[in-house]
Amino acid sequence: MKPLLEVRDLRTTFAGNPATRAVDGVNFTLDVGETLAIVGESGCGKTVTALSILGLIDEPGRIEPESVVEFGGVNLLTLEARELRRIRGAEIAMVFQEPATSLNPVLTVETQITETLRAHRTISRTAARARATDLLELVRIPQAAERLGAYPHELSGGMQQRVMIAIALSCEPKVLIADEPTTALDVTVQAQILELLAELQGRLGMAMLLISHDLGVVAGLADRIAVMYGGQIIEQASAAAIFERPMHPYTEALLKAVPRLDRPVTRLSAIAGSVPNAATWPDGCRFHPRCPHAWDRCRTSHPELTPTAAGDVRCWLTDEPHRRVR
Amino acid sequence: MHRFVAARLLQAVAIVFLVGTLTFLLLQLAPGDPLSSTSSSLLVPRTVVEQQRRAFGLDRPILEQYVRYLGNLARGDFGYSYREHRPAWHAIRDRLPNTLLLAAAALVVTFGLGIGLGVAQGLRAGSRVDDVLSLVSLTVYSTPVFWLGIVLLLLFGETLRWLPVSGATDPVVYDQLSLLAQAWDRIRHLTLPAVTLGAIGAAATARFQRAAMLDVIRQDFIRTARAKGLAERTVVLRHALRNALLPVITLFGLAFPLLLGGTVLVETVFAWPGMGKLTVDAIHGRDYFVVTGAAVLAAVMVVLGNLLADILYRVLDPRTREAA
Repeated sequence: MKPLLEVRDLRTTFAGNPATRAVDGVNFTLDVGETLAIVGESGCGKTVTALSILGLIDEPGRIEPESVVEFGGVNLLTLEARELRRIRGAEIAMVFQEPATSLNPVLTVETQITETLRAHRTISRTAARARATDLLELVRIPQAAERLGAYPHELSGGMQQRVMIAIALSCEPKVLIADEPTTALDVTVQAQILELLAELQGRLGMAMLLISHDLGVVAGLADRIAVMYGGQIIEQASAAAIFERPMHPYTEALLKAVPRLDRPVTRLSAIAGSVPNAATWPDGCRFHPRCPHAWDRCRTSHPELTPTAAGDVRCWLTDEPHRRVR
Repeated sequence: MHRFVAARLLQAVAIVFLVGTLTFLLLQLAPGDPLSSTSSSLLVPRTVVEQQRRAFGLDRPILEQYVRYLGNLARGDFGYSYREHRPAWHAIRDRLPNTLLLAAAALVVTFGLGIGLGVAQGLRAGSRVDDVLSLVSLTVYSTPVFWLGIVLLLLFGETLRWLPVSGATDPVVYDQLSLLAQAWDRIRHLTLPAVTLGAIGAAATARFQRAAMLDVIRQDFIRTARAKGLAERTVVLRHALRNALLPVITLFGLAFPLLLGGTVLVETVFAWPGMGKLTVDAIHGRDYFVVTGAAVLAAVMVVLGNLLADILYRVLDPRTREAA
């Protein structure tokens, strides 16, 4: 069966000297009803990947012409602006990281929900209003009808994010892209929002692309996980496989940095160094300067994403004589 | 909102009172009095001048004059115009509508043109059109208003002969025109002074609006609006402009004093029968009560303009409204 959404060789660069290759050849698929999590540190290119899918890259950013985002049999990146607008918000919707700044401060909740409905559906003002109330109830905002007249600053962060989710769900999209949907929220609120997302996804049968820097956040939600580093996917496998047997040293390090309740308490380990600058990726494997297992080949030659039994991995440690990957 | 407006109106009364007092004091500090020119004339006997001084109360102590002036002002009596030999209010009343018309038209030019250009520039920032418009607005902004007036007058009035160059109406045929033709005549007379008076403000507004637009267009909620699949028109007008207008409203409050200052020059260049010209003539002629009356009215207009700006701000930005 053809996947619902297929991203092939996605490359997004930002003009400069030298140009920043924020996303540098990303491939993945998303099936109907599935949740794929893209995980990685800040600056690894995960948000730019998400934005590129809907063509939301602003100048000086540019999606390279060889990139393909196939949805419903068409490449979204070659669509006319008008055609692409029909997909945005209706077929593929997005929830952003900062609800406080992602909602327009001078428009009411009602306006911000109904304008999406009215942009994509032939619907009367009253019907749109009724639907907006239903949506607020769906995302469990108490006194939904009264909150329609509220402005974003009158709501808490959690409520704002619920409104964002209501907006995203208004046209019953096939794909929901959630870019760090809980990062800006308090921990208790985070859990509520994640639960809500999981429940709504099941109820509406949406596929979800969940972007996060936190493996802990995606643990309960993701079917598959793609780990990004240096603008590329470095490991991609089922969530179970990633958590049980990470293949890439970077994934392993990320996992060690997540506090776990089901293991004895040990020191959390940090990954030494920081994400390299996207304008000057290191030669060889992009992770090699921070990798405890790097050997000669890692420093000189760039590994490809290679299929294995458990999933895909981009690492020279799969090769003799340093075979580590099972 | 009502309490806010009431509080601001109370403030306004205080400000108008202060302006009235200051103007009165400044005029007292200036040498001479309304009868100076009369008294220096050898043709007028001294006794007559003294009699006149007594009649107008100019021989009384300053404090007494001041209290009487305030009392009159509180009753809406602006005093007497020595030059026109009629109540100062009548002299002002004849000119006020012309100045209000000119100021309103200039406001339309300032904000209509300024916001339109600023938005267009903000959306095309860095393009050739943007560069050219920035240069033009900077040039206009740096131009003295009277010089701009004279240039426009020469170009459109003298060389091209498209528009009349003086007065508010055609002095010869206006009274015989039909109502519609009278309106058209007024618009033609209004165009050059209004453009002159409004152009500099428009240049400033355009620069402000451009910067505000550039700032807003980078915000997260604009990305949200695009992700919703809204038409670019809706993104710009409903999402970007509504927010980008906020800083410009501050400019709206500041525009009134500049505008009233500008009317003095523009009314002189285009012989526009308004308050600006009246005030200048009154100052030269030591026509005290016309000057104080004009100053008080100008203060009222500035205060009302600022109040209007504050109300607009509250209407457009829900975050500045009081918590319910």
